[in-house]
Amino acid sequence: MQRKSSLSFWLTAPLLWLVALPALAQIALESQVQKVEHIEHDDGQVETRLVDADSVVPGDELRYTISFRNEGDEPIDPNSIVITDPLPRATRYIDGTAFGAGARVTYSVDRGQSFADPEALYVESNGTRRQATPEDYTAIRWEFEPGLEPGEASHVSFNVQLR
Amino acid sequence: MFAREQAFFSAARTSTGVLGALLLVIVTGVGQAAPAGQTLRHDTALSYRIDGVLFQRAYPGPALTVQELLDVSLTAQGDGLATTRSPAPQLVLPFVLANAGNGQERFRLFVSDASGDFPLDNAELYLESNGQPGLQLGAGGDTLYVPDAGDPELAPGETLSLYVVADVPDGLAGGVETSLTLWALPETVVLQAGVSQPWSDPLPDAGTLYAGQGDPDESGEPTDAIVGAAFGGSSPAASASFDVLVQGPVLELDKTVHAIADPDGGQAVITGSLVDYRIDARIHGEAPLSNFVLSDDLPPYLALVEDSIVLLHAPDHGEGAQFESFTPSAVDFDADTRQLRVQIGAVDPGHSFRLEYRARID
Repeated sequence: MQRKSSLSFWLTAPLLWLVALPALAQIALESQVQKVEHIEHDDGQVETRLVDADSVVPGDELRYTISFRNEGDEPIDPNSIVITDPLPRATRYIDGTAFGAGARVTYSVDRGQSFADPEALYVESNGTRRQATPEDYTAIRWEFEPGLEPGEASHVSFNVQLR
Repeated sequence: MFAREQAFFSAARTSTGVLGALLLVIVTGVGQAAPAGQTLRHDTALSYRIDGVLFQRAYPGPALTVQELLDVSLTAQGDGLATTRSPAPQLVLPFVLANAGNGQERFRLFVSDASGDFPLDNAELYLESNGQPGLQLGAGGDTLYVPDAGDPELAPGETLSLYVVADVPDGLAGGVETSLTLWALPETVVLQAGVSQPWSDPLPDAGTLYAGQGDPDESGEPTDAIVGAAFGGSSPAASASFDVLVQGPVLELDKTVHAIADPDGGQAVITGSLVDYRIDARIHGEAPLSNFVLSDDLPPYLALVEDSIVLLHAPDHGEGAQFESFTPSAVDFDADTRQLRVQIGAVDPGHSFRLEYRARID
């Protein structure tokens, strides 16, 4: 009896893998980075332009855009898509720039070990505990409430300044 | 266009815990300045569920190479103002140079001629090199700057003290002023833009790119060098000026009554009382007084007591000043104008004089 059960598992396991394989390619994701230029016109209006980030130096503002699409045949479960983005080395997050439609955005100050809303983040500085500022953030997380139907796409973005 | 999932997935039941461990691998560090040549990597972690089964993986993102920023900061110490006397040999004007860029860079230094009411003679530039704060000349002292061969090389953020040494000419009046400007340009700018006189040659605009002139990247290929903001505007940060002011003498006067003696042996201010006046004069500033005369006008009801005038001198100021008798060039009392005049002559700053005399109330 026990032997028959084990044999049954080894016979059916490859079939389960074959069924699961299409899901491997379910979401395709692409990252893009552009340089943000703020141009002040004579009338005082400030125009923001996104240009190629061919050449970056300290002080430049960069926008990272992460686009993703459900390229499979099955819908992605609601409340399941989580995108986590460590801030690139030698950059500082620019407050208020994290975007993600339908997503709850949280931040980390411990290199991605934990995430929380800004008001709940604290850091140790010179032996004292203080509220974290955007400069302290080391990673950003987007948790999406909606799912993603086959063929549907979305994106998140955030800006940083190169130190 | 889209990176496709290929190999990395997991059917773990929990997502955030596993993802956190994944992130620890991805994050390489934050909080550091971005040095020229560094590769700026970016990765994204994604997790999602299909029918409750968790999938997650990390996606490598675009990698950028940080180019070299050519920037400099030059500041004149002491708010860029030096008060001096005339003459003043080897007046020292201290500056601080900082590499405000993100690459290892040599800097070419230029000292402009002084512009203003007078020239500064024999100007020389020294680099702090012996580890002792301030300028030291001679053996074991700081290093005389030699353009090109002696251009200082600074790491990003590194600073260096510089000293311009010059002579203030003789015979200048108090209040005259001149200005000396020091320039510091990254050598890359000097060579690429052909700058030899930064005060008159056109400087490159911020953002100007010199292809392949930056520090090497992680594969050894040179980065581009990009001109920073230090060269823009009417007061570029690549230059700093010292205003040199020959300070005129400043006279501080203080007149007091230090004793009263009435005819009845008391201290009442009545007819016949004798009043002892004291005038303290303290000379401040940097320039000498050339013809110092102390004068005091007596009101009509006061008569100067003959032979009561005493002049004292001290070579310094303050409560501890040691006054000694001093013989004036001349003493004169004009009965018509009722003015007492004591001629002292040339006096250096820092000295004090005390004039005492007695008057009778008529």
